[in-house]
Amino acid sequence: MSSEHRDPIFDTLDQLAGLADGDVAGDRMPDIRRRVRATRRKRMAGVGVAAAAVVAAGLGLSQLLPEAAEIDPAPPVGDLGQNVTITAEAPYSDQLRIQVAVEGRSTAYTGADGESVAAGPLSLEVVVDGEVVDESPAAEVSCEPGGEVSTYSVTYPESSRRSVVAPVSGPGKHVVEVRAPYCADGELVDEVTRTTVTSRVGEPVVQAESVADVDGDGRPDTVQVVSPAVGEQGDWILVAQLADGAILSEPLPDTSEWGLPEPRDLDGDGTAEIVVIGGGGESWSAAIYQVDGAGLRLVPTLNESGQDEPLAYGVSEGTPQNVTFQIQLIDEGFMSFRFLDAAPTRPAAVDVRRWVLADGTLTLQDATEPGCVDADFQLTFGAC
Amino acid sequence: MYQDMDMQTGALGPLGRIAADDPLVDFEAYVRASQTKHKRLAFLLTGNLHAAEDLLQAAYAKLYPRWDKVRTYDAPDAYLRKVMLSLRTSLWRRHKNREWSVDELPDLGGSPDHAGGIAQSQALLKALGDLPERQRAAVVLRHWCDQSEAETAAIMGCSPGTVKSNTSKGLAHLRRALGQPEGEES
Repeated sequence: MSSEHRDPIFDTLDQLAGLADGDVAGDRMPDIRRRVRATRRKRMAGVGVAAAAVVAAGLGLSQLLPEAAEIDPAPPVGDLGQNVTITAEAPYSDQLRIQVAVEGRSTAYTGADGESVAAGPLSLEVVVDGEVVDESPAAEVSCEPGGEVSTYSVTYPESSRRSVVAPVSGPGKHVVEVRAPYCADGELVDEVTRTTVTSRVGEPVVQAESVADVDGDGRPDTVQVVSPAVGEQGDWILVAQLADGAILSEPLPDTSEWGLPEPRDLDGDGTAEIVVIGGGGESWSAAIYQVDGAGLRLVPTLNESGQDEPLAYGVSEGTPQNVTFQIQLIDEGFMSFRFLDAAPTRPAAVDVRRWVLADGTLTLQDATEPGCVDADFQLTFGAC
Repeated sequence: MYQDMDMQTGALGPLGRIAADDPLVDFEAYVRASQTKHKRLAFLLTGNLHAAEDLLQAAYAKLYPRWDKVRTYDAPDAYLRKVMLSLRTSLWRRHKNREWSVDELPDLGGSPDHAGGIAQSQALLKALGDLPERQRAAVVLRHWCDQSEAETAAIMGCSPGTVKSNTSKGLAHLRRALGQPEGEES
């Protein structure tokens, strides 16, 4: 629709829509992440129960193949009738993808103004495990005797490349039901077509991998960040496969995503610590691990007073940059820095506070040193 | 109006500037760049600023875990619009209270023009609330989002014919409510 031919209602709608601009939201990401975590926790409750059932059934954890649904067509009514075919698969344990094909021969409807409306499903509703996941609501027509008989064939969604995507609680059997009432010469036939599909647990995914000596034996070890199987919910895990064959693992703290494990010798003892960065953009956190005996140990991070101080950064858009300390990992280790100007133009002068790793604890130092952040946002010590 | 916007890219990370193709950075940039237009759409679909905010955040939260895939789509906005519409319909069905809760519109100033505009917006908001969900969605997508019948049908999960029918009925009602002359849908 070009602007020249735009309906006058557009301007009125646009004026109304613009009123939403006055309701200004702050940084949306914390709330978005909170909602995602809440959904994951909710699903995890179901995953635990269902996973136990799957294991008990002897299916194991590595069977990935989605199961195609069996079809349970609705019976035809007289010489008028309709067949509903449900194609449902579970690509992930917490998601079904559903397509519906409806073929039938039935009578036309009567519209509000008395006109004839072509035969077909009056509406279509897809229900998974008792909850409506998609629908095409009923048109405003009535089913009267004597309507014109015709055949039809429709798919839902209309494009064969699309599916109804339905979240489910976790692995296990799920019931898919479709209702597509049609008009049979004055009788609105409202049958339910039902099928079941089983979703199963997949395999974890190695998201990132680094090689370095992390246990001090002089031999390279492999460190991996592992996420739950695609589509699954659960903890991300840090795994260290040591050169001597030992495999150590530890769940990573709760955050949205974790990136490449970066081996860094932060305390200068010749053995690399494992630095993992989670989140991204303007909100992220870091976790540091050391190989400690037979396990991976999360290094505590404290402020100069000995209180917990997260190695994390997050600031709302618009916050003056001389207020909040930002954090950067440079060759000398983790640094907190704060611009001297509220709205700096880089290169710009900063105050820098070092994070020092000693005796297994990373501590933020109180003393500040002059530093400079260049145009590429790289921090260095000294004046600009 | 509802137009695609360029996404801002690049943000700060602990290792310096994060590449613009980092999916997390990309998602945050997408949220920042798209929130205004999607908030407006949510408002037109719900008629209430609080409900609009909740709908938008819920839609972004649905999009977030799938962003790595959706970001490769030609039109991520279309996916988000479909999510918003699906959530709106789902909430509408789930909650017994299906009333269209209309906000008091903010006062934009004291001039007669502004007062007239507010009165017209209030009338439109009420008229939108009188429409069935599908008609409202069809009108908003077709006549505010500038979506074609085919695009609207894809978002609503119905046929272009259903879109045409819903749009026509919805527009006729809005025009009557606003005292505008009846006309053919362009």
